Formats: sequence, structure tokens, C-alpha cells
Amino acid sequence: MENGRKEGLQPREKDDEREKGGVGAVREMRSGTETLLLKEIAERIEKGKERRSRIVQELFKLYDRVRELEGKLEEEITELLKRLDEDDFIVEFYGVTLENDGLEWWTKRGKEIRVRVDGSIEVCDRRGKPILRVL
Amino acid sequence: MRWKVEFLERDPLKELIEKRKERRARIVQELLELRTRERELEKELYEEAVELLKHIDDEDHVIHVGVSLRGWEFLTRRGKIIFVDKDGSIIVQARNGTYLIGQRVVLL
Repeated sequence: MENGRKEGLQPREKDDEREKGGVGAVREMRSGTETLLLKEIAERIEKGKERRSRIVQELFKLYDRVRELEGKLEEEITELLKRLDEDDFIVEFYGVTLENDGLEWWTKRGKEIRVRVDGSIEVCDRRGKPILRVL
Repeated sequence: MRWKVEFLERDPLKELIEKRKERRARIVQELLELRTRERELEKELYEEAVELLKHIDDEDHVIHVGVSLRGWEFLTRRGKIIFVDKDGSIIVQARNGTYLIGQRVVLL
């Protein structure tokens, strides 16, 4: 117990440093901790570098392929639109259909064109009424 | 009374659509598969960015994800930008523009 008390009463090294160096020493200690933390993070980042690089590169390739395929479908839809309504054109690629069974495009005049997984096409007007459905 | 049977003339538009049906089906199927893969990879990157952010600022979180020419960008609530480059390196920029991790050179 006595020893413990004595140890407890003895000033710590850090406190000594603080007393000696004042604000400068505190700053130094803090920056030292920060540097250590940053080093740890940097090591962590370095570890997964190759994996991340592979992921990002694969993602960019996927985007290119997606754009290419979407372009093919858009060409076909434009051809179809020419015959349905000459003045209409695609303004937005909406994405996957609500039923998750195909893709959907919207046109300037509010038509919705859906191309489904089985290759069928459905065109609805701005009120949602189907004007063309080829199954 | 005799019934008159009439055969409707085939619609050229429908014919055109039917012709490429298989090709379209193939494309849509591939696109849906690619999207699933995309989502998987994007999730992996997102999780890594979130993990890194936890170490930098525990109370901050990602609010927006974007793609740039060189890689992926994650914007955080406190204005940090975590940039994952094509070569796998990570750059973290604080709200005031200083770099917390790494450094990025942008050509003007």
C-alpha cells in the first residue's frame, strides 16, 4: 500500500515534460500522436491498394460495356419512335422497370418505352395507356 | 348468314420488333447482370471508404457518392472528400481544401 501510494504520488514523465516545456511540449506530443495515427491509416490504405485498383478498373470497364449495350437498345428504340411519332425522342434512361424485368426509357412527349428480358417491347403514352405491345 | 373471315394485314412495325427480339433479350439480360456486378463492386468501395472515415472522424458519414474521370469520390457530411483513384490510392481532402491523406494534382 505504502509503495503504491508513493508511486501514485510520483509525478509521471509526461507531466514532467509538460511542466518543463509548457505549451510547446503539449503540442509536440499531440502532433506525435497524430503522426502515429496517420501512419496507421496510411499503412491500412497501402494494404488494400491493389484490390481497390482492380475494383475501380473493373467498374470503369463495366460502365463502358453498359454504355455500349444501352446505346444499341437506344438505337433500336429511336428507330421505333421514328415510325410511331416522328417528332418524339428519348430524353432519359429511367433504369430498371418497376417489375425488375427489363429496362425503361422516357421520351420528350412523355412516352414510356420498356424493353423486357424476353426481348418484348411495350410503349405507353403520357397517360400510361399502352399504345404498342409486342410480346 | 355467312361469316366473312378477314386476315389482318401484318403490321410492319410489329414485324420489325419481332425480328430482333432475341438480340434485345440477350442485351437486356447482359445489362441486368452487369448492373448486379456493378452494385457489388460499388458496395465494396463504399464500405472501405466508410471504414477509413471511421478512423479519421468518427462522427462523420458519407452523404454522396460520385464518379469522376480518375476514380470514385465520396462526399461526407462534414465536407470531406474521399477520393479512390484508378491506381488504388486514396486521397482525403478536408472541407477547407487541405489534404489529410495523400495529395492530388488536378490539371486545369
